[in-house]
Amino acid sequence: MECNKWQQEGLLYVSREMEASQEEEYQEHVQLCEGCRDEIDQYIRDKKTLFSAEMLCESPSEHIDRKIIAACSSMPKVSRSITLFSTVWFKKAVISMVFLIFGTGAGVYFTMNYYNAATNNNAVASHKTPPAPAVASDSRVALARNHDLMLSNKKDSLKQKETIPLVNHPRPDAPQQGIVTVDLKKE
Amino acid sequence: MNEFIRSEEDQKEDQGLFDLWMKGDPRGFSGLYDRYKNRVFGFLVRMTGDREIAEDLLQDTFLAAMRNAVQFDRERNFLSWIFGIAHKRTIDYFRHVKVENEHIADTDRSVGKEPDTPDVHFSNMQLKALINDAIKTLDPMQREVFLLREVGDVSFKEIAQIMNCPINTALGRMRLALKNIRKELKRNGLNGM
Repeated sequence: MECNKWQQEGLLYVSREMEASQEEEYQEHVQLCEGCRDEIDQYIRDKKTLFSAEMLCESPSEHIDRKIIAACSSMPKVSRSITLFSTVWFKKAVISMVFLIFGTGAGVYFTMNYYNAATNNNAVASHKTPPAPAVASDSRVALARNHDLMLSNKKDSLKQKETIPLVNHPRPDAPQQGIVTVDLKKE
Repeated sequence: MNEFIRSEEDQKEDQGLFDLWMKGDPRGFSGLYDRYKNRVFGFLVRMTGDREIAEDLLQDTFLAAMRNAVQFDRERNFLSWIFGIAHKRTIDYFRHVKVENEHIADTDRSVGKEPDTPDVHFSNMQLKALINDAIKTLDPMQREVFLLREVGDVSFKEIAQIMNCPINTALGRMRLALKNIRKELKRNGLNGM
């Protein structure tokens, strides 16, 4: 009968991977558990006979041996400065630097755009709206001033509308500039 | 003492040879290669089921080791490291060639064999053939855990890292591998040694 402890602890015990305290605990268990004892005995027997070097190892052919030794033994002395570029952390550092540069560039680009847009809006707003009145002691006076300002703004905007030249739609009676086409048939 | 269990002295010798190799001394690499070529090759032959492919993978493994030698962590076991590389080469091979079907076919062939009588005495060659056949019948994951543990002497913790799975999964696969190998050997007339 196979004991549950064999898989979890028995295999670690026979491969000497247990900590000292765990090992002692398992040894105590083995003294009481026949299943674990049998498994350990069988494993040790198999390891000596069936899973020995003679059974599981193989020799490659001589020409392969020669080829591999020739290829690997002639390795030049590797200097740290050269290998620095092939290390994993160096690659990671390069990748993170690239991301950092691109990220910073993108951040600067968007910030500049935002800043430009904000300054343009401010310029338009400051051109159209007059500065806010000084602190009014009387709310009625302040309201009257605001009303006057609104009226003057309206007038200004109407004047502006009137003076805007019609570039795309010239009036028919306006003198033509540039190349003048003449309808000969009509004339 | 089993020849697969390595002492601390072995590991120190490995480190010494590795240092020689890094200094450009050819004795360093040839020493390490002579020590472990048979184990790595045994692992590759049993994983692929073909000696020629295993020889190619053996070359790939040691060439990759040479390329990545600088990144080798000295605290780590050299053999575990080289088996980790061999594992990756094998996975790459299976991904590119997709020989899983061949493994299934091999398994079917071995299943069709007539079992020998239980009392028969096996020569080493016969025994080796039987073990090979038993290993072939294993599920690829079980086979890999078994070979990494038994041929490579890689710890279960490192097997779990190499195969990217929890340690309990590796232990479970090993238990099943042992169970299935014994079952297969018994079926072929080998009732334990």
